[in-house]
Order: sequence, then structure tokens, then C-alpha cells
Amino acid sequence: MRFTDIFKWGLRSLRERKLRAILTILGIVVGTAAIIALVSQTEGIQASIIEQMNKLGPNTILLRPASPSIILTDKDVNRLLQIPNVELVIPIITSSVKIYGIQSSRNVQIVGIDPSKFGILIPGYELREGRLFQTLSYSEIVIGSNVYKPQDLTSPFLNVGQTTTIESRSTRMIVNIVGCLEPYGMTALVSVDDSIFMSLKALANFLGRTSYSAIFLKTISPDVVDEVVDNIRAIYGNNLNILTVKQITQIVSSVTGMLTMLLGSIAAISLFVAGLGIMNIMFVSVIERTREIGVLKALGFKDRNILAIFLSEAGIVGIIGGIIGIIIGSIISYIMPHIMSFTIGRSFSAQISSFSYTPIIRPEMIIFVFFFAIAVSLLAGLYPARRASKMDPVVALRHE
Amino acid sequence: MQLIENLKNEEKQWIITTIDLWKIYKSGKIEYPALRGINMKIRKGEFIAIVGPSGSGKSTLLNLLGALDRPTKGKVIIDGTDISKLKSNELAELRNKKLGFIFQTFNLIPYMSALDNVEVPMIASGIPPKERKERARKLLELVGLKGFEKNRPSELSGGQQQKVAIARALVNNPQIILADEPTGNLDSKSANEIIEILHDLNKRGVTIILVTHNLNLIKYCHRVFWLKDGLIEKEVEQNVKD
Ligand SMILES: Nc1ncnc2c1ncn2[C@@H]1O[C@H](COP(=O)(O)OP(=O)(O)OP(=O)(O)O)[C@@H](O)[C@H]1O
Ligand SMILES: [Mg+2]
Repeated sequence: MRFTDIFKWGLRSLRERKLRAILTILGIVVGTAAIIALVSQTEGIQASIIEQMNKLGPNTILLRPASPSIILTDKDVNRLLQIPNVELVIPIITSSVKIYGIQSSRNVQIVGIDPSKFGILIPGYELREGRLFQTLSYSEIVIGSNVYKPQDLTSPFLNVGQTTTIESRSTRMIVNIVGCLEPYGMTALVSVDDSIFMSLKALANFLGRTSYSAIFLKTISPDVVDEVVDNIRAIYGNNLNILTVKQITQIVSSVTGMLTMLLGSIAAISLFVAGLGIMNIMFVSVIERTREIGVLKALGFKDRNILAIFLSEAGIVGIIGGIIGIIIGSIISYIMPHIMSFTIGRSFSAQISSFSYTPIIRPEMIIFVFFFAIAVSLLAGLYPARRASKMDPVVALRHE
Repeated sequence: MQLIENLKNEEKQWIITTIDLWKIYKSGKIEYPALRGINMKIRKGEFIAIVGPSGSGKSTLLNLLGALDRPTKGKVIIDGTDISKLKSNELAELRNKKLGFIFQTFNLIPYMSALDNVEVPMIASGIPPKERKERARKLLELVGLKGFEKNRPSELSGGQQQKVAIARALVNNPQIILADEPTGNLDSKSANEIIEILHDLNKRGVTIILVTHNLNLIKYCHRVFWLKDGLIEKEVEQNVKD
């Protein structure tokens, strides 16, 4: 028997029972689409987080007090600078303040940093308007893009050149907005778009603090990160939380990897369920076509020919379902981030809404899912098809 | 030496031989002997009828002669091959190449056109589509169905369906046609047409084995086997005039 004849036969008998064929194909479509749509999200999220981490550079180390009683000051900055292979030490202060707009006020994150280090904390930032604050200016701030124009407002909340008030624990200060950033996304510590920025000294003064919230540390190369971490541990023991970009990247990868596995296997289960559907329908089909099987055997079809004809039906269901599923899955995959950011943006504050990612559909994934759909279908079809092929021709011809 | 030669030549003229053929059906503990030792020899080019009352074992015998079934005991030799020694694949091959079946209920494939139905046995043997179409068309013409190529079985009369089935049985140039009550579901006019076609084929050298109830249909048969209770009760030679 020729391959094209087997294939055409399968196609023809599927067409003969269209509704049934469509329903079984739909099962495979749902399973395949679910795998593509879900796995591409987690892979996209992972890539996006890792990209943000890598913006900081793999030679970055983040230090934070392990408990509120630990205080980081200029003494610590100097001590850290003494450690071999440390290139830069950048203290920052973060806090939450209320900022007043024309009609309303909002809570935002405020970040104090020396303007000369701004580009290291937020590499590749761009100003939409205005300029950065100056080291010695006590009243200048730069605002993130979502503070300039929050997503839930149609017109800007604050403008560059304007004067406004910030408030923290009933202390108020009048500040000048000297600049506004382009949309940026997140870095390891800061949700840039939802924050406002100020000179480190000015913020320390405003909040009445002498201690820092965190210290960024850059080593001279990524290779010495572990060594520097060991040195810091030797000095501070467990008093500091030490995070390296390398570590964060690893953690993120393993967490999202697990998520990918989890979602992928849930979706794969739905594909298996679709396989059970195929098996069920195929059994019905084999019983219905018992007589046809008897006739074919009488006409000289071998067992393996019968097997091939029935298997081809299952295979075609897998191929069609797989292709449609991949297409639909890809479409859903690209729609999902919009739906997600919409719902997240609504249900939480603006904090998370600026997190954006593009789903990633790797070609290997498409190929794998395609063959997986076919394999599940063939496997489901195998048993019924074997039943058909093993039928005794005389018994089959007597059927009905 | 000469004797053996003669014996061999004698053997050669038999296209089907059965030796003490038994078929015992078992359902649970009950055994039912449908055939109880059939010995028959059929010549190349003969037109044979098997007649007998219902339940006498006609279909059972025909299935054995057509390599569709295996005997419980005894031998069926088709064109020199003892079929009990063949694997199921080889039996299929034999049916495809040497035998053609015609059934009482036509047994066409409902979702295929007349032309496609005739092509079916050639699909099993892997003949390319173009050649298949050509041969199928010619055969439909031969059985008088030119113009009905595209019709599905449901769009054909019983007689027409049986003609499609005959065309299908002929498509691989079989040596033997086995027909189990081919006119059982037809009116007498169509039945006669079918018998005329079989007669025609027989004149062209095809061996034909016909199972029937209807004694009006056996006028062209060279020999008639009367079956009763799984045994050949009598065997009658007939003089056939063309
Ligand atoms: N698969 C089977 N299992 C059990 N008994 C069977 C089976 N097939 C046939 N028989 C029995 O064997 C006997 C012969 O059956 P067969 O079909 O050969 O008769 P027949 O001569 O063709 O009858 P009819 O003229 O009604 O077609 C019958 O008694 C039947 O009941
Ligand atoms: Mg019968």
C-alpha cells in the first residue's frame, strides 16, 4: 500500500464523519494551544527578568541590612571600598512618600542616589524631558514615566518645571521637578517608572536619616564576585543580605523553570485527555466499520494495511489539531500579556503595572509540541487500530 | 516416471482441491460441526454451483475455498498452494491476486464513489492511481455502468451495486470468483443480468464458484454440489449450451 493512499484514506473517512472529526481535533487544538500559550508566558517572563538583571551587570552585588537593627553608614561604604577588587560602592536610600499632584496625591517610591551614580543604578536610562538633579540641590527631583503620567489618568499627573510637595510621616517638603524619565521597566531594586529620584544627601536630610537602605557594589570583573562576597561575609557575617546578580539570575531561572514545567504539564494533561477522546472515537469508528474491515480483508488488505488506515486517521487528527493549536496558541500567547497587565494594573497599585514582557515561542518548542500532539494521537489510535487490524475477516463480514 | 508426470498433469488442471475438510464452530462448550469432511476438486475454468438448504454449510465452505477462513481439519489447496501453511499476510496476498469475492449484500464502501470502490483492491496491491482509475473505468464500462462512476452506493440500485461489486472483484484479474448468494437481494431481472455477466466471465476463462438457493440461476453451471448438514450429498454434472 502506498503512503499517499493511506493518508488520503484517513482523510476521506474523517471527512465522512465531519462533526466527530472536528470535535476530536478540537481536543488536540486546546491541548496544544494551552502548552504554547502558557509555556511561552513563563519563558517570556523569565527572559525579561533576566534581561533586567543583566542590565545591572553580572559584576553587581547588592547589600541590605539583614534586620532593622543593622545600620549601614558612610563607615561601611569606606570599609567596603577597602576590599580588594571592589570598583564602586553606591549607597542608596529608598522610602515611600506621598506626592501631591494638581488634584490628588499618590504614594510613590522615592530613591535617593548620588546623581553621578544614577547611570550605574539605572543603566541606559533616558530623560524624556529636563535634566537630572544635582548633588547639592536639596529640592530637585526627577520622576519616573508612570509618575509623570499614570496609566489610569489621561493627562499628566505632574509636569517638568513644576513645583510640588512631598510628604513623609507628616514632614513636608517643597520640591522642583527638574526632569522626567522615559519608560524603563524594572531593575533589581527599583521599579523605575513608578519612582521618583532625589539626591542621596537631600533625601537623607528630608527623612532625617544617616543610614542607607542598601548598597550597590561593583567588582572589577564578574569573575571576582564570589571572592568579594566571601570577603564581605568575613566582615559582616550574617548581618547583611548579600545578593549577587549572578545568584538572582539563577534563582529566577530555576523558579520560572519550575513554573514552566508545572504549567506545561498541566497543559500536557489536557492533551492526554484529548488523546483519550481520540481513543474513544476510534473505538466507536472501528465497531461501526467492522463490516468494511471484513470487506477490505476479503479484498486482500493485510493486517498492517488496516492498521495503517486507522492510524492515519489518528495521525491526521494530530497533525491538523497540532497545526491549528500552534497557531491559536501563538495568538493567545501574544494577547495574554495585555490581558494580564490590564488585570494586574487594575487590581494592584501602579507598582507592578510597569512590568512588561514579551512571550517567547521558541522554534524547538513548536516542533516539540507539534510532534507531541501527533505522538499522543497516534498512541491513542494505536490500540483501536490494532483491534481493527486483528479482526477475523469472516466474523467481521457477518457483523450486523 | 511417466506415471508421475501424468499425475502431475492431472493435478495441474485442478485449481481448487479440498481434502477431508472439517469446520467445527465452538461457542463456549458447544461444538457445532458446520462441515464434516468435504472432498471436492474444481477445474480451472469451471463454473461451479454449491446449493443446499439454509444452514447446510455453503457459506462456511465458500469462505474456506476463498482463503478467508482456516479449516478445523483437512486441507484446501488453491492453485497448488496448501493455504493452511500460509500466514495471514500471505492469505491476504493470495485473495488480492487470485481471488475475487461477491457478496449477497454487495458490501461496497458507502463513502466511496463507484469508481473508487472498484479501485479499492488495487490500492492494497499498491498500483499507482492513474493506472487504477483507467482499469476501474474500463471494468465499470464492461459491467454496463458507464456514466455512474461518480455515484455513491446509496445512489445506485441493488443490481447496479452488485455490478460495481463484480467490477471490483475483477480488477486484479483473478483466476477464481467466489459469489455467495450474489442475487439474494435482487429482483429476478437484475439477478439474471448478474448471472449473464458471470457466465460471460466464465467463457473468458475465469473459474466461478456460485453459492445459491435459487435453482433458476444454475443453468450455466458445469457442476452442482448439493450440500446437506455439512456433507456433499450429491454432485451433478450439467450440459451447458452457450
Ligand atoms: N461463526 C459461527 N459460529 C457458530 N456457528 C456458526 C458460525 N457460522 C456458521 N455457523 C453455523 O454453521 C452452520 C452453517 O452455516 P453457513 O452460514 O455456512 O450456512 P449456509 O448454508 O450458508 O446458510 P444460508 O443459506 O442460510 O446462508 C449453521 O448452522 C450456522 O449456524
Ligand atoms: Mg450462507
